[in-house]
Amino acid sequence: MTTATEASTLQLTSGSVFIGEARLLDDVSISLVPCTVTGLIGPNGAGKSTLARALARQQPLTSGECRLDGKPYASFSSREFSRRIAYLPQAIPTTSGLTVEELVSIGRYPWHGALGKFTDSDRAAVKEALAITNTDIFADRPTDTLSGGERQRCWIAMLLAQQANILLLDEPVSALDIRYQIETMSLVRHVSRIRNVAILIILHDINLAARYCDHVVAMKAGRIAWQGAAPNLIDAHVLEAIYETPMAVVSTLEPNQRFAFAKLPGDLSKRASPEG
Amino acid sequence: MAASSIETRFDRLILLHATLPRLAMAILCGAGLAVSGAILQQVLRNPLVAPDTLAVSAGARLTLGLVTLLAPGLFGFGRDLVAIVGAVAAVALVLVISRSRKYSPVSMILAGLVVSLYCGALSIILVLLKDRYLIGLFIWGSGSLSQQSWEPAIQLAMRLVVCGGVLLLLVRPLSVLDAGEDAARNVGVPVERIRLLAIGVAVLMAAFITSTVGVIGFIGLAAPALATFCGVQRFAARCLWSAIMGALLLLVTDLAVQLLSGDGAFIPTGAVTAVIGSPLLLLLLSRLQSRQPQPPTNETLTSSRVGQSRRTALLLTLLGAATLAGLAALVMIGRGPDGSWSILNGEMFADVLPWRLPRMLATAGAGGLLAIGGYILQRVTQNPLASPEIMGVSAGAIMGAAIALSFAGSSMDIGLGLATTIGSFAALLFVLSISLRRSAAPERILLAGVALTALVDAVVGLIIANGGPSSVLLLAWLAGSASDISLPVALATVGAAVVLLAVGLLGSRWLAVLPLGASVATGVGVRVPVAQSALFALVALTAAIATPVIGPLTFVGLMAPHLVRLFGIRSAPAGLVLSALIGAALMIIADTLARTIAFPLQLPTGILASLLACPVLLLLIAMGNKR
Repeated sequence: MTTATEASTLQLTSGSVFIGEARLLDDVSISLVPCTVTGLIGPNGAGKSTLARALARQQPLTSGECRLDGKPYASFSSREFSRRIAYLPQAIPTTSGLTVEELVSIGRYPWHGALGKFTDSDRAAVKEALAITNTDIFADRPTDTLSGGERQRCWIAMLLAQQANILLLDEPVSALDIRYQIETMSLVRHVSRIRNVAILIILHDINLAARYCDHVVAMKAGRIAWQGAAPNLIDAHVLEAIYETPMAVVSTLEPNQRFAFAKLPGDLSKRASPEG
Repeated sequence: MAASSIETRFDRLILLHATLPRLAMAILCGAGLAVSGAILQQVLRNPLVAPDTLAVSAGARLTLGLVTLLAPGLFGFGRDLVAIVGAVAAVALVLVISRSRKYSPVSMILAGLVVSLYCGALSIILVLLKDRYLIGLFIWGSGSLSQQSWEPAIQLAMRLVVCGGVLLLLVRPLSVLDAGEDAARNVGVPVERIRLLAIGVAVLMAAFITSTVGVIGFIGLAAPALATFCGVQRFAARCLWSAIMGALLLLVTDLAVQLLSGDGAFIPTGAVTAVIGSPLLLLLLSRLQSRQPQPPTNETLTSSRVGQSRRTALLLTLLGAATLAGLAALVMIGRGPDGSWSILNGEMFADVLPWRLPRMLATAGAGGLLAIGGYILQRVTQNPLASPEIMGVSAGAIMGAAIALSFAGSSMDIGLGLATTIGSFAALLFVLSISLRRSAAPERILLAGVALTALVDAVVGLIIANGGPSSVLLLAWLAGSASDISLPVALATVGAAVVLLAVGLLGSRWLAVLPLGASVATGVGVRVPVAQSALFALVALTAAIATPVIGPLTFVGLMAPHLVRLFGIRSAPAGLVLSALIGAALMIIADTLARTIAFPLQLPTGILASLLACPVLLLLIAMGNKR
């Protein structure tokens, strides 16, 4: 098992992205440290994806600086950078004709490059990534014949095969049903622990964020509105400030089972009662 | 005094019976083609369909040519009827082929393009076979508006008015289609019947016009695009404005043609519409929005077969190489002076081989080159329609040669080679800069290529029409100069194919990653701009080397990658090699046929190649989804 370095740290200092008049990212500072899952939440258009793209070096910063292991981004070549940071875009492209294994093998590009040999260590990394994500059972199938959840796992496997120290995942669970959401989130947490990896994951589900992340950053209008330890997110006042919507928190009888939800208008019992 | 009055009377006569009818004809044809295009675009919900792209004009032209040459008696039933039969047959073929793909825009255009290519190639072969001097068919084929009386204009006007009457009845139901098929059905519109009727009207209009004046390209595509660009939203308004735009476009073009041609020189207007229409379209392209949301654009024509091991790919590649070697033996087959078929024997071998071998080697090499370029383009742009020929790269090569020939005048090989390379690269850059400015939707990239090709064709056509020694050389280029190629040049072509294939294989990792999109490719450490420009430079080079040998119209670069994918090969290196092998094999077969079927006449190899490959491709598109 080879990795570029033991672990990496990512530090963004007062990063801003302005496009014309629009301030997509406004003076945001954030750091990602090994063995930690950082959840990124916030309303639509808050700048979550812009932040992830900026950290992935796919979106140039208007001002501010990104540093990887203390060195500026510009000092890394494309492949050196990709060995350390892997990014899963929100819109996953269609992969006509690729089998799962071929897709996952693409994650090895930063290691073998355009001309290098596909070595045994590459093969081992692909195999391991397939095994961790339980995608090895359909490794030979074309990706376009899989369900949405299965395909999502294949892409995570590709990122794992990349063996980067920092993973940036843009809404990897939004298209999945509840069971796959839970499976994927435990997979993400598991990977951060066994690989000593720093993970940034964009989520819409606050309860998933509170349960599976270590640290949560909430964004609003291009700025960081709140951040703290994940369990502290489940607080009606905090959430109301982030989403500007009436929120409530309930506890079940089991210890530490607290859930947050938005208060919806209307009376359910009246709606449910039969008319006659 | 008397003389001058005769002169004025004569002028008056010309004005009344030649100039005015010609103006009327231009307005009628422009408006009719534009409305036909607007209807087709509305019905098929595809901003790229037009009488030309659905093969309406090509079909009409083919049957008219067939009847002229083989059974002139049939014109007794009426010229229009003959044209309509051809037009309807061509459109029906296109619709049947694209039905299995649910009439998706890309597959429909692909089918239309291939059918019209096939009809065009057949027409040319027909003329070459039957009567080499039947230039009239060519002139008519490129659309001439010149008139001697009011009769044709009046006849056409009456027919178009009838079509317009039917169209009026269809405006309401067709407008409802804007809300989507389901919504239309929901409010009680019999969608299928309306569709069929509307397509019928559009095809009729185009067929009437084609039968009267010949093929006038681009108006049916450009005028509705212009109307849409000007912000015309509703269908009825779009029809009206398309008609106005179309009439104006053709009128202006025709007047320009008359002014420019001045004395003597004959320039068919149809060829020139492209000169005005295509830059206009190119100009608008970057701002032209598809009116309706397109279905997912990543449509590929792959059959998703399960489990394709490396071994199968290797086996197929070996098989391909063996087939190619076997085909090379075709060089032995030929026809004697008396026309009888013969296989070369010992003593003839040494005499005949120097004639046949260079030609076969050169065409095979060129076919391989174009197939490599096509495979790379289709992979990188994720566009099943991309190929050096369709994207205007071949046209750019020809343009480079045309400019070099007409300005330098000499036929210096090195200067010419450089000019073609620069020309093809410039064309590729141009098309890609237009299409990559926003998301590279297949429609956009295709439209840019088609427009560029049309523009270059027209300019080259004008250079040729001007005459001069350079035009003779250029004509030879257009047909492909394979027939009188020397052995060293032929060997160089094959060598170039092998070298560029090797270079392409070095980039096969890129070919695997780039289809996943710039974001993912950057994510795994590919420097996307570097990778893309390197690969595109390779494509430009393949087209620049291959085009002088076999001409710009082979479409091997489009066919070969499709055949590869329909064989089920997905891995980039194997696909690249197999594509090159298929391209070479196609050209060898085509060359052998070109040499023999019309003996002692030698047909252009490039055209025969498209005749061979088109039916296969059409069949494969039609069957694609059933497996």
